[in-house]
Amino acid sequence: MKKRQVVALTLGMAMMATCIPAIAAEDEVVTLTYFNSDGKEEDPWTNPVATALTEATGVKIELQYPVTSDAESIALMIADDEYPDMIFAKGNAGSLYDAGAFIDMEPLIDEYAPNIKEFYGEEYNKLRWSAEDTGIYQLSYYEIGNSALETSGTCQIQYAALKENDWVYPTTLEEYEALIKKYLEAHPTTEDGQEMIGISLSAADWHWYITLSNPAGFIADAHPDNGQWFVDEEYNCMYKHTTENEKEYYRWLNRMYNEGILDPNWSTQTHEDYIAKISSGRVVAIMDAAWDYAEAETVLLADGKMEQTYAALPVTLSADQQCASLQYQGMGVGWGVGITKDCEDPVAAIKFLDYLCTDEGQVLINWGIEGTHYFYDEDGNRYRTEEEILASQTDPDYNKNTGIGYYVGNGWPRYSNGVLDATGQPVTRSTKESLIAEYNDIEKEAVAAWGVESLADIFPQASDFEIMPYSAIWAYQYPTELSDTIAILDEIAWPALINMVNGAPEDFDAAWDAMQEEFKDNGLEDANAGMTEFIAGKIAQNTASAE
Amino acid sequence: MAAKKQKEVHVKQKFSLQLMWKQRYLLLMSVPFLIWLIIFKYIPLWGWTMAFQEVKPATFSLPFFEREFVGFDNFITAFNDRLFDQTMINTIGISFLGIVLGTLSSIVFAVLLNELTFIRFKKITQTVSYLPHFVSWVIIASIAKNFFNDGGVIDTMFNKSFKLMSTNSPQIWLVIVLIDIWKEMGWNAIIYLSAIAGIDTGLYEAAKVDGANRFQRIWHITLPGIKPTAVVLTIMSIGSVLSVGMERQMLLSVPVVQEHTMVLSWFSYERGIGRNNYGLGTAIGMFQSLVGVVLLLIANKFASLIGESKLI
Repeated sequence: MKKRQVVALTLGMAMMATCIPAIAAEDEVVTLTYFNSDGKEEDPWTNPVATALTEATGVKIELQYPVTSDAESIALMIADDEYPDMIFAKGNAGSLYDAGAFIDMEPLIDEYAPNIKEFYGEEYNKLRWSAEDTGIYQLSYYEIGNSALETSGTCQIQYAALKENDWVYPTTLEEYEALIKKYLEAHPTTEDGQEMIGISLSAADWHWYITLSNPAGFIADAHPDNGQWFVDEEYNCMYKHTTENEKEYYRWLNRMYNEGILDPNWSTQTHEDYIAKISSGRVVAIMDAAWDYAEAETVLLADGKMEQTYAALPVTLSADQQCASLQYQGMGVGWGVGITKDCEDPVAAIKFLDYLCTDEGQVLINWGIEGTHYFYDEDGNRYRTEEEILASQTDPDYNKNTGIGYYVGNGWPRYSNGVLDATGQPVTRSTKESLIAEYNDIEKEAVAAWGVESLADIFPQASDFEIMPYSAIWAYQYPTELSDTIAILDEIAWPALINMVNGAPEDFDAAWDAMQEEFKDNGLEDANAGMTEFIAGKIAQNTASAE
Repeated sequence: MAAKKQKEVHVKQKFSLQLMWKQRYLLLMSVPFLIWLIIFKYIPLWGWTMAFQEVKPATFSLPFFEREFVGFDNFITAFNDRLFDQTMINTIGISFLGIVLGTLSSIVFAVLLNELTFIRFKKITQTVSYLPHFVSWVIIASIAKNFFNDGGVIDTMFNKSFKLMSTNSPQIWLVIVLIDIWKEMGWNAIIYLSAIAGIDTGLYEAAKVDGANRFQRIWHITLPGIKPTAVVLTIMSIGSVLSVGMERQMLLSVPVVQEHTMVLSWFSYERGIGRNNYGLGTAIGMFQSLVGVVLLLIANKFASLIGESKLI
């Protein structure tokens, strides 16, 4: 009996002991785990911006990031049925939604987060998952009010080639080809004796979407980035590797391959090989996206090969097409941060996100701390000191150490370039003026020769296009059945397109037809119909929300 | 002599409770291993039930009986997949090629090593040759790609485009198998070397006295001496014909040749994890194991037919 009492007493004391710190911790900092699919390193959450975020919200973020690939990490989370408090899942959000991992944020937003509603404004209703399930599971982060200041165009060529061509830039594939050939003829080798390569691409891993598949849509169909889809004027969707224009584009690539302009190793080289090639300045032309080859340009600039960096070009298949690189596709829907069912304090999470959606929060993550990182002049204009700008350009750890910009690209709600806050000041650090001021010599030479202000001015402007009633298709999370069919089509297209380009010109038509047949046998019609219906649903949702 | 006879009697004794009691300590000693076997090898087989259910992220966390049973639908989907036939051909082709060339090369290498008389050189060679076995495929693959990829070392050396790793034909099987042999030959030769070491040296001396030359000694003594080992190892490898390592295939493949490098384990991963259809992935994996067991039994039967000791 006595023994039992002692046990009970000890247990009771132990329980009380655990209660005390819990009560005491009530107004202290809440730690939330956050899985960022784009995360690459530990974040100790000690930089000034992070500290300020915690001060303002009482939330500390513990970052988790994928070790191998984000898809794998998320597949494992689903398999374990255990989730961090918040997730930025990129393209894997659909399976998390299917697994019931996300909670509907709408009741929380209604109660605790007025700023989130204001932040998304008219586009708030676009956040709803679908017509059947109107819950809000993710907060978009992409293209929230964009006046595109920069673009990498549909394809790129070294500045040196343009310079030798008296800065006449190509706008059609034909002119592009001629310019590459002309430059290759004049410069068969680089200055240090390496053989020059006409065009190189990276297609041995997922980068085939970026350098092989995307440019086909941009150049051949003059389409904005809709992933693997071509949308006609009546919003009928077609799997894009079926259009006649694309056929011509791949025929052109096939000819380039057989003429030796296209790198003979383009389809087998690893992405690292590709980046290494570009970094050496050997490759005259590429068809890529700026974020993908930025790494190589850093090396080129460091080596003083400024002329070997790439100019963005508005090239299309024929002269009557209008390059859609700057077309504003509306807010991206489908990629964003969500709160999971395992989050013990969703209120803290939503309040944290709510703070990010205030002007104060946006300025904090973009500019840092007032009085330390930025100042206001007499007219109320936000500015940074010369030293600060220099530090941000030369110190590779600047973002990490100060936190400035560090939390901009990690999936949380953020304004795109060109948005002004309540005081009329730009929210992001990049403005047209700041970009122009930061041009290097060759870029300055280019804009001077073209008689324009910024490099993006040679493109048809965003105002030339109407804004589509649907968002960029690549970011949408499709229903599982549809995405399964699309995955099969992609699986067919990838090797087929490569083999087609690498084949003999006389076999091209047969190879193209064989690929089309294979598409048809594996659900092309279903995918087209399914996507058309999906987009129609989204358009209905978006137009309803605009009213 | 008398003691030996008694022992034989024991061996022939029928299974009985009495015998179990008599050998209780021996049995007790094997219990931990039985437990290990059950926990790590048999309990996970429960997961095979997923092959008969629809298991996708939406249903994965549901309790077992609340998932939808779909009978053999997952198997039918797998067999009707556009990649299935070619995947089977690749799997069988690449693994038979691997077994034949791998076994031959290890035996030849072991015999050659055994014939070396300069002991230090022999030891160094042996150590160097099995080191790659410990290196991960990720590293082996990047070294191999450096050499064999288009524009790699080999192409540059002969100033010709061989397209070793980018010809979309069964040629890629040979390339992959040769790389695998380079990695594993030394390691596999160790077993043959030990088998050779077990051969009675008296036989060699007798053969020498009879005037047999080196090749005759290899042919008539060494090779027959390691035949049982070779048969056992081959039977074992035939059992795993369908379980060709996925990482090797994935790492050495480029999309151009994927048609000929896709194997069952990769296919199972691709359809199971890649497409978030765990039921389908399990079905493919289960099929792979079942065929493996059947092949193993056939090979075992065959071994007893040609007069070698059976494995099971």
